[in-house]
Amino acid sequence: MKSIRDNQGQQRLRSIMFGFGDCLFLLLVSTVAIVVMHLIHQLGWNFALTWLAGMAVAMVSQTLLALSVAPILGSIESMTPSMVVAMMSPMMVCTLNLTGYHLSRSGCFGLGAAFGVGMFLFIETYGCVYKRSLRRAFPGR
Amino acid sequence: MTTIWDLRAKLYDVCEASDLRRGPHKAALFRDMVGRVLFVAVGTGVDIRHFPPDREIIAIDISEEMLRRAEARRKSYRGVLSLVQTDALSLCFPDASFDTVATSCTMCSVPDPLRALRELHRVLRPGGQLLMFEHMRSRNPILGLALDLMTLVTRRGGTEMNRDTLGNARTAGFRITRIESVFLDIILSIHGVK
Repeated sequence: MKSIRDNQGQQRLRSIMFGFGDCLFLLLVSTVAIVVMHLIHQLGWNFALTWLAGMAVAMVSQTLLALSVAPILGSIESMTPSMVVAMMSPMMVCTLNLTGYHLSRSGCFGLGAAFGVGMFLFIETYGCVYKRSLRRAFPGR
Repeated sequence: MTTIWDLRAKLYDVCEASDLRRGPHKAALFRDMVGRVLFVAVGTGVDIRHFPPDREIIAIDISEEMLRRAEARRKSYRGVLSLVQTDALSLCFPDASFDTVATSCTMCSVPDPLRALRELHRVLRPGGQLLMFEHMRSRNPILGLALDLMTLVTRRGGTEMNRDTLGNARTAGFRITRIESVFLDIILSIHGVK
């Protein structure tokens, strides 16, 4: 009985640690992607070129970051949500620029943190909903 | 196909370095291996450490180079473990010759996953169990799109990230009895029976 409790405790601790790692990683990717797009906007190129270059550099940065954390957080586990965040967050910088709002440096970090935490909350919620649907589909397990 | 996997064998352990997170889930799944076991696509043997001891396991792979690298890990297994070079699409075993068939991140890489699953169904005895640790396309449209985009790149190396492995297992004739989520609806531990 004690070993089952210990095992459950270990599982919970692992889950919390990986959740913490996922959150930090998504925060980092989102911030890097936003800062990259922000810096490319500073170059004053035309909008299409800025968007293309910013997205390309953001995606390459995301891929390299995801590959570097894959041994700890898992390859698919790090690559999939970070790819979404690295596509969406730079687009927000472009949208803000189109509406005439130019982000400050602290604004970039704030927006990056918001996107990273937002994505983390999304995958946690989606994971909980999916696990609940599995418990309904396979009751008594 | 064999040549691609012989080349990939050199980088396989690095690419499969997600064991810290996935290892306990694999061990929990493989704990249910019973009787004569067929393990499909053993690769360099990174999953051997998660096999429960004292089982009779035949582990197969299409690549000679993978099996050569798996040999050292085979020796460390505390049970009967044989390595056989054969193609998952045309297994060299008679019908109903195994009590358990197990896979680990295999169905993303075989050229015809439905045919491979039908082969597994053929060699499994009636009532025998299927254990799969597999990744597949998410049903969430945003995450599914990300996996579709990734597949554009990974397909060149022989891996598809967006397959419907669960649906394919059902189509091949398996009855799914339990699914555990390892990561969202993308990486799953699947239990099934013939």
